Amino acid sequence: MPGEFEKNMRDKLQDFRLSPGPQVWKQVEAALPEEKRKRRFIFWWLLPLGLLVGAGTWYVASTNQKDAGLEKPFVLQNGGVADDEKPEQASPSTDAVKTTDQLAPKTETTSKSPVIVEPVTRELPEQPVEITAAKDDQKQEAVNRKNAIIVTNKNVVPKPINPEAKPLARKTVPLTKEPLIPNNSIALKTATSSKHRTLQAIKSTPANATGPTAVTPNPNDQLLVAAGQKNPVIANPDEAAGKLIEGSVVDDGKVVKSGTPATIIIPKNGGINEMQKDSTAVADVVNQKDLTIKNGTGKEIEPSAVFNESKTNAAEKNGSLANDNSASLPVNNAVPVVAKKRSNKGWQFFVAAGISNANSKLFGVFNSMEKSLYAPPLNQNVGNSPAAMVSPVRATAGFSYAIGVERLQSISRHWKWYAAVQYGFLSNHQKTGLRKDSAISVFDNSLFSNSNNRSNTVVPGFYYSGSTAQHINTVHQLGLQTGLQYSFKAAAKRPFSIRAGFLINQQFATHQLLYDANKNAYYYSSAATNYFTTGALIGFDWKMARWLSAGAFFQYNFTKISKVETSSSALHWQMSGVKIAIPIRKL
Amino acid sequence: MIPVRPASITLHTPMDSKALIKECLQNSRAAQKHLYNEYADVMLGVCYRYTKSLADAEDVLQEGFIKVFTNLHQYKQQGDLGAWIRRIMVHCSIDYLKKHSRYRNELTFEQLPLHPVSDENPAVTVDTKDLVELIRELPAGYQTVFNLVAIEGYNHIETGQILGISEQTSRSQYSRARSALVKQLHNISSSSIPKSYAR
Repeated sequence: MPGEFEKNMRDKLQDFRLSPGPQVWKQVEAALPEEKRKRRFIFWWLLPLGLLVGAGTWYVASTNQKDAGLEKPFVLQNGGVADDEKPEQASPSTDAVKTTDQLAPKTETTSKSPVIVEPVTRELPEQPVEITAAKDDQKQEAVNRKNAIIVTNKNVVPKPINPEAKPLARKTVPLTKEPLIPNNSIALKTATSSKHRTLQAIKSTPANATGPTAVTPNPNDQLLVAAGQKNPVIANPDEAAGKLIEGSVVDDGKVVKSGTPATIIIPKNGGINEMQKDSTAVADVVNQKDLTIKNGTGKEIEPSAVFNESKTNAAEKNGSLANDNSASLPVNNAVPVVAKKRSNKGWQFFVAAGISNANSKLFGVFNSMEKSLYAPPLNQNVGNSPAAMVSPVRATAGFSYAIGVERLQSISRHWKWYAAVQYGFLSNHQKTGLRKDSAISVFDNSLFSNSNNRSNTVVPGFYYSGSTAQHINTVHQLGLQTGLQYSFKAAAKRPFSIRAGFLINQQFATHQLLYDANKNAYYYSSAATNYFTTGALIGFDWKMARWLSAGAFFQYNFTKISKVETSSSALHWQMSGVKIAIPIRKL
Repeated sequence: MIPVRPASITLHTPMDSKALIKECLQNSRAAQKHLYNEYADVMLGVCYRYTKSLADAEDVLQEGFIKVFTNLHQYKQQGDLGAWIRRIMVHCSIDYLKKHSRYRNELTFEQLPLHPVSDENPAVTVDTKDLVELIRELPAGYQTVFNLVAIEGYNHIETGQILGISEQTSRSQYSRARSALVKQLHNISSSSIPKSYAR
């Protein structure tokens, strides 16, 4: 069609120029958003900052743990005699209370009141278990005791026991944050009701208690408790009532490394059975697999002989334990209590499920794609033409899930740091097809929003009933996330926590319906969003039970598209879901 | 599908253009001013061809550049930036004509019988400015169709889509505009040049 005339006209007019007045730029400038400082890389500053904070808290937590582990534990003995100058000379049969140096001021004691005598030992990081040196004659004394049951951790040499004490069973007890034994009047309260045989140490106030000064252990500590006399040990000052355990609990003199179970030695006579009658449960029964149980002659016996209630009962009744040299010589009256660092780390497995969707606006969570990503491109001569002017794809949320393992570490009483590795799957749905454009409900994001000529126009790419196809976009993600968790009532039985963190993902095997601006067409791409992405996450967790946590979260992934000619280069995935977590190793 | 037609404006090297666009996307006012200065003169010439006054052309130019800057992220840096901006200016001009009553009344495209296209191809010897004035003296409908077809290079299907008219109407309008313009050129060659434009 263009002839010579048109060619001449075009050549002459193509570069025709006129100078605009200065007011034009001023008005353009006034209409543009205010110039802002560059913020594009703030996130990239935040990410390493977050990692730095995480590493720092890890280091601090590790340092604190080591320091705490080196703190001298203490041993309390009820009704003992003070000997705080030369603790190694204290007789194993002497009633005494032992504690760390700083917790061992001289106190006025009576022959029946506990006194601070000496630290038992300190934990060394390299050694899983360390014990106080037991003198050969003391060991021999213990071995020679008939029917004595000595319960120890593996590789632990028991401290000599009082032949007058009763045989024992052992359990773990968490140490509370409150001062321990403020008046030496703490007694063991047994726990019972449940299949989890547990016990709790509670405070009581014997009339004759004039014991040692208060001890303030680390709240994360656990106690290794052994009682050698009446009204033994320990510690939950928050509890006002409880039942005293009559009998003796004997310390084996060991310190257990953090992470291994501490023990309480419970008098066999009236011990386990009586404890089962009580109902307050605090700590788990020590894992029997971690124990070596020996009788007075040094022969190993089955833990179930001590811990299995029915077996114990039966044994008591028919004397089988006695026959097995594993019953009841009384042991001494020592009531040692050893502080043990409680683990501040934990692992948990989690599964999450929810809904997901994608959007090209940074925070346009609730804007559908039809308003953004699939708007007509500028470099198309769409003008006021009705064809392909409307956004042609409607996106709706799809199913998503995630699965992973995360590590939790205490930073303080309320704060925890967490890191997780996870796999996630996100999807959403898109409808395409044809539709009669009403020109009312269709959002036109192009330059030309004039919709005068668009009524009743068949618009390719949109949808209408009877000519609709539904596509599913999918994204697989493998990534890491890290962040902080805050517990509102950290000491509560079922604490509620909120958390926030960053995440990085490698997307793979993506399947995405995309708009090609050059071809003015839609097509699937299986690689256009296979990117390394970043994101953020917020959520909450509620510990429903010892073995289960539940919560909800919202996750936002930032994705760029650069491999295809879409009208927007962003494609941000969001996921909202619920999560359950099962501890692998408790914090 | 509507083809993309490259324009002949290339004021930046590819590297310069990329850097400039990047800075503009970061909302750098200096870069935006620089881009404006690079293209404003040429684009005002485009807008001027579609309107009847320089003030209107500057209004279109202003609207066009605002759209350029707010939609610059959609420019894929594969075609020429000048061509991309030019298309925006063209569409802004047409929107402007439709929006304002003084143009809208003239911008009616009646379904006229197909006018035979003249084979006459007179030599365009007049000055560029005078040629622009000749085009602007055409009725608005003729003027717009002639600009789109003869200067921008759209075919009648595309022109019809842009203006919301049929292909046949576009052909008819163009043939009449062409005949009128050829007639004017003949008149000029035998008399004086048209009146000069004024701000």
